[in-house]
Amino acid sequence: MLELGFFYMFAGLAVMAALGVVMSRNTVHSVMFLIFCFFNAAGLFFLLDAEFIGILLILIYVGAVMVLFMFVVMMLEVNFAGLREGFLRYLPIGGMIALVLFIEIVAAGSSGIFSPEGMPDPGHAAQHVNNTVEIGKVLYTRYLLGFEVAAIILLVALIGSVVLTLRVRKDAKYQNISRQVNVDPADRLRKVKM
Amino acid sequence: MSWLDTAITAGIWALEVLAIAIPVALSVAYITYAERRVIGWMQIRKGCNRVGWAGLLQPIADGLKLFLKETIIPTTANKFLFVAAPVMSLLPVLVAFAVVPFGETTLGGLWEVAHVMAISNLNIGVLYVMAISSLGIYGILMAGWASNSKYAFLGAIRATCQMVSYEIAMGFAIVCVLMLSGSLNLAEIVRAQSGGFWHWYFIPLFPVFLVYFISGVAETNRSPFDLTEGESEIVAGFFVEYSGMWFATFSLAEYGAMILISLITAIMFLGGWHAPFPFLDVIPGTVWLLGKTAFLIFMFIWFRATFPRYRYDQLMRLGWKVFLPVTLVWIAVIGISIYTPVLSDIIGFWRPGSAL
Amino acid sequence: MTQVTFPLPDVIPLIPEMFVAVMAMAILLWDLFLPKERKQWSAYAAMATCAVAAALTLKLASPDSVNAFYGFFILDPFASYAKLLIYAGTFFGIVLSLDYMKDEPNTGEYYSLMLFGTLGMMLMTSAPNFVTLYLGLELMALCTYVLVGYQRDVLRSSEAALKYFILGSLASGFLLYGISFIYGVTGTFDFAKAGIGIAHAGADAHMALMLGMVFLLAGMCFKVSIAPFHMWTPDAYEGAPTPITAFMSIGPKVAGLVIFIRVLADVLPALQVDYTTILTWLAVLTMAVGNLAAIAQRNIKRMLAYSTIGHIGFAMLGLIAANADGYAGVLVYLTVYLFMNMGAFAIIILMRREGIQGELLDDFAGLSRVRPGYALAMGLFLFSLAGIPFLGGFWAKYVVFIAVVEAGHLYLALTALLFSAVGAFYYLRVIKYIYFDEERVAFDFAESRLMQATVAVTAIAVVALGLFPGPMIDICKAAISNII
Repeated sequence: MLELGFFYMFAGLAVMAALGVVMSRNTVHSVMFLIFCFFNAAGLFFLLDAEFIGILLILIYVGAVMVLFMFVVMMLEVNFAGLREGFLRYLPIGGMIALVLFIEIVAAGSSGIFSPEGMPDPGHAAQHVNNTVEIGKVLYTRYLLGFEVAAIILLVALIGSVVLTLRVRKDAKYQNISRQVNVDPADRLRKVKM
Repeated sequence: MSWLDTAITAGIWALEVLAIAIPVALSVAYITYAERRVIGWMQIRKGCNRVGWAGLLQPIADGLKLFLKETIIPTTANKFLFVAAPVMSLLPVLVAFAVVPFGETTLGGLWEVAHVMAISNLNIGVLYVMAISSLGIYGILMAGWASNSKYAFLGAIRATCQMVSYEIAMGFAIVCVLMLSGSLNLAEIVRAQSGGFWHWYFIPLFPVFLVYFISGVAETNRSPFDLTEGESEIVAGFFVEYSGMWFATFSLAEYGAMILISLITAIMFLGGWHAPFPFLDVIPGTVWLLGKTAFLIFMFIWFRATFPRYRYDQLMRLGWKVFLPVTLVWIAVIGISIYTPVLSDIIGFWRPGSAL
Repeated sequence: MTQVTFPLPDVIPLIPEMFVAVMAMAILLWDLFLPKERKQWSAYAAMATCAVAAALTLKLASPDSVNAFYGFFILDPFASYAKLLIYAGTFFGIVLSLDYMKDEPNTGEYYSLMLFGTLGMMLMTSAPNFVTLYLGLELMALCTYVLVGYQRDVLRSSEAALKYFILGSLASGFLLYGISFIYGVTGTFDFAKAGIGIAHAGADAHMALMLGMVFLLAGMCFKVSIAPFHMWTPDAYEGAPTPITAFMSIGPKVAGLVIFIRVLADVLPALQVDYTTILTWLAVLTMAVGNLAAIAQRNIKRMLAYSTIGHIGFAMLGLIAANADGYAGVLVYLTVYLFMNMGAFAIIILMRREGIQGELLDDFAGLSRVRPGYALAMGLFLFSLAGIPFLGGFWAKYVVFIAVVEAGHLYLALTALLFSAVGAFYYLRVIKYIYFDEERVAFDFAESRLMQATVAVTAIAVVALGLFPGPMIDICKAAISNII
């Protein structure tokens, strides 16, 4: 009863927040809505006793990814008039594709294959299991290859972003901090007898 | 479960929340007092000593003053976010206290087994604290952006870079603790350090302990990492446009975060509620924990009185080029020692229940 | 404390992958310590990595298929052969880069990213389930996005990278969306199990499966630039540094077609009727777009981009045939394409006038007077690309055409023949420039022994494969034996 109430609260707020992301005119508001949406999604995970995944969602998406997102959005000067330009021109074809996709997805979803009858209710079996340990067990055995490849993908993303942005300019002056730190007062300072 | 049971449970929760929130608020007030007195003492001057005996009523007077002052909202500000920002920075700090274990108690023999004194003894307490305390940044970011002022925005940008950078080092430092304790539960981490100070984690994890605490100072934007405020360049940083009670809320958040970081450091590295020597266990654990926390808070104040502010590039360098490698190396050191025959015996001393 | 034991999985089949990954990271670090005049050494190290990895793959190759990492990795002759093609593509790509990238900063990262991209392709070829497929694909794609935009001071390079990145992300989204539908119906990521699940799925699952299949195909079509998902190709090809264009035209296409074959043969056999219709129309469209649009191009890189699209269209005939001959035909096609395309790109990189890279068709005017050798080689590559008999390209087309006719798609084969004839026109036009036009600006070739060797080796390979196609076709048929 209480659980159902919480489910509808989290789910409803998540949907509303998601709508807010798309509808709000101010990009910073959009990002705030997205953060709120993630929170509610995390709440849904908590209801499923998947507290590890729920907290990771907050820790990684809300705590780190969205901060950087917000950072970029705040710095950008988004030209809304420019974005709206051509909206009407592409509306017919875009709307048509969206409509077709929507109908297909509804048809696929309502065909009964994804109905709850086909999937047994797990109940609260996960309550007495230590989520973190169980995820660790499969992540480092069964899914080890995927885990390692994902790590390499992140490494490549890191290298790529540095390569594309790092620009050592010849006309700019740089501070060599280790030299600054290792300065010996004797080299700089001379005591003079007065 | 009947409605009565639900109501009783909710009532107990409310009491638990109050039992933590009120002391936190009070200690925030008196930390500001302590800070002024301690810094005064360190700088050979008096500090506040007028209101009440030895100035003890000063924080109350300050609070009252701020409460009565007008809150000015700049005309070009984004009203909603401007008002929401201080709340958004205070809320995560208070929420994070929910999982902090303040000790173990049998409630004077009422219970047969000792219960952990925490609102919620969460299995993933460490992650919870990390996740929730990292949300404080949104308050600062929003304050800087919604003020629609250059100084505030610069302060917010600095805060973001700083917190994102230092959070990584903190996360890796926590990984070292987890490798020894084998649990994400804060109470379990404390239990793993029982039996005298030589079992505490600051000994095997000394470099990491330093990194964690200093990063904590940086996370809370305290001196010498207070570039977000940086009054010499950007007036007061992200809260330059705030006044009255909303300004006080930011201070509340800052000092609350300071208490939180000190508590977590004490729990993870300084044995939590355990006494340094087993024979001192007669003194309640909570007193030990709060004592250790108080010492760490004193360190915060001491830092502020001692160090000049970092330059921005130095700050980034310290985070990325010093702390991050140190923690990574120490993870490797701990990991290798756990799986090396002779070293595993040594490190096993701090790993209770390890089969090795 | 919870004690968990982590059994080490069987890592032997992954040795080439692990070697490439370790070497990519080692080169990244090593390059930092190389003095400026010896930066080329990281390129040599990357070339050596490809060679050693090829040796390791050959050593591990066996007629059986070996599963490793709990069914997340498969090593079979098909994967081994595709990996050899990918190594060759990367190797030639590095050779072409040697002079081209000499003056660019950060060459260590450049070669390291090429190796990481190669690793992604290797994982794709060995993917027995959707997780490995997707991760390999993303690894490869991420590297190519960065490499395309490597000359970030060149506007069109950045533009190309951005276009490629945005469209690529969209395609990855399509792919994942399709996978999620298939996972929803079958409850497994494993190709073989998903195939069984689809075969036994009830009628109510049909709509969801169709949707999943369409999205899955769309995502994969994007990666191998099948029309109408080819939009990024000409821009990315033109904007990318030319060696990267060459690199992109081989490895990713090999890996993409390999997963295409695996998905069609393992996951979707129950839906063959449906996907054959889709792929047939896409193949016709792809051949039309590739061969017709190429005629209008003045820039040789753009022309070769459309030519790639056209060739992928021809190779798709092998997918549509969906029999052993067809799949083997795809491998044959890729093998021949590797040599003729690499050779053509090597010549393009060689063509330099007054320090400016010759990219327009006019730049080839009068090549035969100055350098008859290069002109002859380029002529061979272009004839082969056009599919003129008794060069490698002819047999590539021949094998897939025969396969698709055997599978009963006679009209499709005839259409392909028609487009092949159209395609010959624009290849031959380049030959006209080379042999019958007057030289306008003095040539200034960016020559080196390695480049000359590349041209020679690829030209000989194209001729040899044209005269003696038998062994190659046999090997490809053997490689495919585990799939069908």
